[in-house]
Amino acid sequence: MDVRSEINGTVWKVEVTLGDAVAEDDVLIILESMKMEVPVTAPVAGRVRELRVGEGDSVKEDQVVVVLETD
Amino acid sequence: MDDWKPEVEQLARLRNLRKRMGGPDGVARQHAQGRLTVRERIDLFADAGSFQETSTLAGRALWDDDGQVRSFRADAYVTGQVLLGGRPAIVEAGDFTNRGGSSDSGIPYPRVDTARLAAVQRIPFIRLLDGAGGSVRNYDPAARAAGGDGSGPAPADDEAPLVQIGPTGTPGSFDLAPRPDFSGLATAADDLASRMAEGNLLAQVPVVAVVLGSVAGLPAVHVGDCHFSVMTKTAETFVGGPPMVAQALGVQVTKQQLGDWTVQAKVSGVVNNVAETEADAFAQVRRFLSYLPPSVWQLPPWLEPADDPNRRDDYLISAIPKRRTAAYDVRRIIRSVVDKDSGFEISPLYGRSIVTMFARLDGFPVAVIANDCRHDGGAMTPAACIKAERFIDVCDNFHLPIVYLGDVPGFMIGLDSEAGGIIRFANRLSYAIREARVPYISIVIRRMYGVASVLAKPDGLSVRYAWPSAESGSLVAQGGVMAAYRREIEAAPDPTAKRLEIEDRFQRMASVLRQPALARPQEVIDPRDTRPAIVDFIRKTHAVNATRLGPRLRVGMRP
Repeated sequence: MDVRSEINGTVWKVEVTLGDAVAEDDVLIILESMKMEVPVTAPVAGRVRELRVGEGDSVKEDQVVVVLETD
Repeated sequence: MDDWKPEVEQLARLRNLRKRMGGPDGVARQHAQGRLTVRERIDLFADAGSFQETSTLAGRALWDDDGQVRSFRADAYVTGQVLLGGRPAIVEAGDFTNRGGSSDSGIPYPRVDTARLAAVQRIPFIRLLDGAGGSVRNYDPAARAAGGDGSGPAPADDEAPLVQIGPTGTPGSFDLAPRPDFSGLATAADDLASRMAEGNLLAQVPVVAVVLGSVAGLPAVHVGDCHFSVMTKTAETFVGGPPMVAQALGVQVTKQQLGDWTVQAKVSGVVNNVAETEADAFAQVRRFLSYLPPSVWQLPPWLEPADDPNRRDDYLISAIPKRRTAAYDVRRIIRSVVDKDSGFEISPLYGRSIVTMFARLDGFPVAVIANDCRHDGGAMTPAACIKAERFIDVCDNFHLPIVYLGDVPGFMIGLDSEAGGIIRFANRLSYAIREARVPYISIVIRRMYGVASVLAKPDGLSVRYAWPSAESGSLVAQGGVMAAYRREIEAAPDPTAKRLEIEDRFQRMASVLRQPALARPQEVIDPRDTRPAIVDFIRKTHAVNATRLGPRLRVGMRP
């Protein structure tokens, strides 16, 4: 499942690594925008299959940042 | 036989011809586009079997010498009354299969009557839009006589080939029909505001626009002449289409680039909501109307609540992160406060630093406004101001109490915001809030800074509460300290350390717990008590709200 950014911003922290198991609502990535830290959370439980961005990258609204493997 | 059977049969025949719409080819083209015909739409939209069509004979018939109908060109609009969840409403629907739903190819008066019907019966008016505006074809005498598209029968000999340009409909165009003359009459029943609202449909009943195809010209004006609009992802709307744009501006654009949902629901904000399918669009209209009274002369409909008014959600005590710069999901906070599954968001893709939503609290329809700190830091951009101003006007018009969850760092600064006219739109929003007479409860959940704190309405039928996480001031310390203490900071041995030290001092002072008077909250409450506190306010103010029915009397102007 593609996890998208809802906002334009910069990747401040990546909180998961490839293969991590995550629960619904777990924070995957924290973006920085207008001095606010905006978490991107897992919409469903799963495993991190792809990390499409790294710390310091800019992201656009609707861009896929993480791909989760779900059952 | 001396009776009127032949005439009645003739009428039945005309009515049947009218139901053929633009004919089999036009219907097939409409279906090939993945779109429903006007009559299929009404069936899908209305309660089963509830459609009572009006102007069933509207159209233009040509007769032969024996008095038989030679051909019939149906009006490009289908109109009538429907029930939506048992509540009556008036529908006017454009028929694209009929010469592209061209607005002035129709006969204006049945439609004018339809809008008047909504006004006099005091029930909602819904336009299902699918059609172009005026077509020059209608000014072509041969085409007019033949049926508009040139494919109809030849004109009858007795028809003079006159060029007639019909009246142009404009917003509020049911004015076209004669209005009662009140001069010299004492109108005992109607008060001043009611008489002033004559001819202004928006001041009287809910008006909705549904964009279902390519909608241009006058119908496009109707997209903006309403309280709520929704469009499908395959629809477009614009004042003038690609051929006109190419001709006038020398620019080649597609219909989608000009006016699909990514333009009209995200950037311009002209259309409130987006629907995946036509059925979804109709469901959204029914949902929108479920929160509103049938007219401004009634209160919004209360429904038996299924949720406990005193429910206290433990999530709320940790909803606001202690780290000041950490964002949170304000929609989750709203969901936990309002009646379960009662929310319906308006304009979710536009002016995203503010959330506008209808919901219910203890069964009472309410409006919820909340800043979303994930977008533009929660700052009020021009788009956020425009969105909030319009939403507050709709709520004030229909007597919906407003619940505001506040976390606003101020009006947006910067190049885009200034060029976008933030100063004007901030002023207009402030006026809208101050003019609102509905019950208005503000809960300051985090930041409340500067002039934008007018969002926590300070006057009228209002209260302000705050959570312990609230902070306030005339401006956010991080920006203000550098402006006010520049000399002191630059003179320090370590300017950055000095700045942070001063900022920290102001930050601690900004807390509602240190300076409650700054945010002027009546109370600082436990976040878990929010739902019971709002329900209490809504119940207490209901009786006053109920005394303020009728059209909203406005004085003066917005800046």
